[in-house]
Amino acid sequence: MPAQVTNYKCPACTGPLHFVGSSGRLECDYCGSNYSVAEIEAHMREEEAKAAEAYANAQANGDGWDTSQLENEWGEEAANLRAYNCPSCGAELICDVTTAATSCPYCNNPTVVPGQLSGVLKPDYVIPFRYSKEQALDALKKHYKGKPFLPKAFTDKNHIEEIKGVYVPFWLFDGVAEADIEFDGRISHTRRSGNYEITTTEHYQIVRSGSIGFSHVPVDASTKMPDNHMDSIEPYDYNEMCPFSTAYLPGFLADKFDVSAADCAPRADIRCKNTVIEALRKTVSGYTSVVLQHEDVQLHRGNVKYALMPVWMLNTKWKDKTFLFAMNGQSGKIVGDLPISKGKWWATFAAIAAPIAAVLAAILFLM
Amino acid sequence: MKKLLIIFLALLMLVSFAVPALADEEPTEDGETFALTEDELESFDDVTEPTKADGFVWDEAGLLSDSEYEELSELCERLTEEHDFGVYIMTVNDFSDYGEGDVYDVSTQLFLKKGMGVGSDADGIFLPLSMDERDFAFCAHGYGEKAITAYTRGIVEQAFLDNFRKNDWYGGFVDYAETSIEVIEDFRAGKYDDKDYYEDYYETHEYKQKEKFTLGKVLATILAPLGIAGVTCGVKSSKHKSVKQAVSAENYVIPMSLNIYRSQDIYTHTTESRRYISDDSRGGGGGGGGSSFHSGGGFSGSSGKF
Repeated sequence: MPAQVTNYKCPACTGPLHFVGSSGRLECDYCGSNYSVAEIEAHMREEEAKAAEAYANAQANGDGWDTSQLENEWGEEAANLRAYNCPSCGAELICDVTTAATSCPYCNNPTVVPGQLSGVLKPDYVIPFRYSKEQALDALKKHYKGKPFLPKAFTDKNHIEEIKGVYVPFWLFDGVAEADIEFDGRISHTRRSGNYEITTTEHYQIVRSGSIGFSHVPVDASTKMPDNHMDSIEPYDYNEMCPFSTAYLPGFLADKFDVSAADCAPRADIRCKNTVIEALRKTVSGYTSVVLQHEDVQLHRGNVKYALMPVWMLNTKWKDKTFLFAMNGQSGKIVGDLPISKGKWWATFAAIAAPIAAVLAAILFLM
Repeated sequence: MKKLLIIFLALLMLVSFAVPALADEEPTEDGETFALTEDELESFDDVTEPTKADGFVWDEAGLLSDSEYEELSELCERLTEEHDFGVYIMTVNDFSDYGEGDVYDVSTQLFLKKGMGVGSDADGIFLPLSMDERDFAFCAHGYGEKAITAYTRGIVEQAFLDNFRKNDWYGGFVDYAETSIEVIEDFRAGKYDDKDYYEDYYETHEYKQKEKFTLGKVLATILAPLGIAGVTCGVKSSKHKSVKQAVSAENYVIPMSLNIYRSQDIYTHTTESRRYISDDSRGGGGGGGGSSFHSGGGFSGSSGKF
């Protein structure tokens, strides 16, 4: 079980560094210094090399800790938990196995758990946060606006119970979808002959075959994240996607995947299949109606990449019901279903229906 | 005011019955058989007689089977003999092949040219169908001109039009023949002489129309606002839902990667469907629906589409 956590310390004052999305740099709240990811990575490599050398020297001199007496048996609970020590205040951090980055609950020191993000679990890419916590809260307030049936108490008395920035693990699927589609196309003309309306319909068999390529179709790989919320905050701008570095993680939660690429693939398959059918459907024009008759879609699956995407998760409770909101940490797009006040709904209904009924009655019965 | 209007309408109807009836009282030259003058005969030179004539039924359009043709011929002949009133049927593909004018004009010309009708006034009724545009004409001559009024022609039309709209030719012709004779006999018996009968009919008809219209207005006043309010609130409610499953990967399509291998649009066949449109504004009274009433020139009747 890894017990060491990585804490990016300021090279100038040793205060904790955290990644700031708006500047794209790691900043120190204590002395105000800021560093690029590349600078900190170089500094960390140098520090780790020095520490490794010192540890090796200590072990060689017999000065290392003797851990042979410690109890190693944690029972069944150990399967889902990991314990780490905060390098800043020494507190023990208990995380579940999928947590890769968190902050110390005692000193709020942002930390990274490297064991969760190494080896085969190492992400290929990361999209850094661009929006801060304050911006996420502002976005939520804007999300409430323009919702005519939102209960007043929900906005006035409601307090966000939890807000957290999470790097959500996603599988990115590449591939090509190839399809043979057959549609039934109809062109109808209607004419009037005496008391008959005569409709003449020409029938066509429409055949389309083609292929289309996909790049980085995202599917979230964490059971903690509701799939529909993750789908709804798409898309991400892949132009800002960076090769993964733990330097982007301090200050945010980061989960490792707990749903395999194989288990996520059917979601990507369905999206690709629907898209190729729709793309071919768009090439059919000039018909009164077009109905899909037959489809044969072949998926040529390509590379799968692993990436961490920035998401702000906000949740609140109202009338014993939890309302969950998700914001794309890169684009600022926020989603989340809102409650409907039955009183407002019926009041609006009556306010629309009553005047129309009055006007209609006046026109039909009085005039 | 309403009563005055009804009385006026009834008077108008009586006048319309009386004028042609008076005209028919003039005796014919031979006193026994209806005959055309030489001028009248000359005016029908352009009228082409159907080739398959046997006296009562002409099926130029081939709508009837042999047995149906035989049965209809027998029925028309029997009714004609029993009631001294000619009953005639004809089907053609295009009425314009047989004369000038509309379907009703051509039908009256054919009636005279073929010497239809019984007795000195050539009493009789004639129902030709023209299949190309699904036209019909229902014309009555002699005593039929008096008996077939704006009201009674509606009774006959109601009997046969529903069959013809379902392409039930034989059934429609049988209903036409039997109902026409029934109406003629009722008229002879004085069933329709009573002014109250018409008043009752028109009052009931008007009341039903008014009742229908009022019910429609009430429903419109209730349902339209509910529908509009429901749709508006539904659209506004949908703004509260922003979470949904993704079904497309359109955002992740590689630009210009769509490659079409095969694109064919193959014509297979053509179909045609017909829908009858009720038009109560056409054809005054009688419930004929979709037809117009004709009166004058020795004939009364109607024409329209089926």
